[in-house]
Amino acid sequence: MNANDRIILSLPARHLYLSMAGAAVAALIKQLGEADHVLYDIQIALQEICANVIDHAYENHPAGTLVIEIYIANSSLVIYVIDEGEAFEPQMIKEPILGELHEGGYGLFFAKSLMDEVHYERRDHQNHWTLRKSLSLSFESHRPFD
Amino acid sequence: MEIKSHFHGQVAIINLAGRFDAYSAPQVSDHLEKLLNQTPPQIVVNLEEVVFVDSTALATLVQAMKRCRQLEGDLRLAHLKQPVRMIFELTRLDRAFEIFPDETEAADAFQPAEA
Repeated sequence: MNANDRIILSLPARHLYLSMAGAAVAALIKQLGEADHVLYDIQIALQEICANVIDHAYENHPAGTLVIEIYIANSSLVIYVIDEGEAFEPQMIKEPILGELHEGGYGLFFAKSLMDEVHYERRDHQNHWTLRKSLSLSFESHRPFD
Repeated sequence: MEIKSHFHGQVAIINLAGRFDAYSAPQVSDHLEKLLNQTPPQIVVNLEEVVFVDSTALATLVQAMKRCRQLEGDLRLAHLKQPVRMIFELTRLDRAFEIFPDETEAADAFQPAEA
């Protein structure tokens, strides 16, 4: 994959379409030769951020759109998730107490636990999530997309 | 997601296949809800064919398990493959649920004390 290659997906903000985003990322990661657990980590993190956008940012705007941008930089996979829904309020999120029987609140915890970086920013009336995961160096020698 | 269920004695066994996520969780929740009418509810969820779980799936199972225990039954899990098991370990819910290698062992474990 070239450094300048950028994959952009635009999806209706509905749970129905989240498996498509996961499948696209999985196909890319697999071709880069990454281990299955890396593929799974990234799929879960992306799923959780997108589901949060659908459930919270677009709670009152069901016709919203999710834009997902994927590229490789500095041996990492970088995923942007952008939406035009309500702003995320980090202070409203409580970390789950591990081992206790919570019926929710694990989404962001999974994303943070499984990725090397999860960053949120509100910009130009949009929510911008950045997810980053370090990849093994093996793909640099394969360069399957060159 | 494919949902099938059958009974092993008094124990309801649900076999799930495919993605268990925010999209399919309501279907599973509806199915579990119907089984909560048993007294006491004794349920085994076999996750052998599940390829993906997210936090909504986890919340669905936690909610059903709490309801079962309130009614003096239980919801137990069987056949977790590594990617699915990892989610339970990450949240330490592998200590809260009773998890068995297969559905028959999970169902039989209900019998002596609770049947």
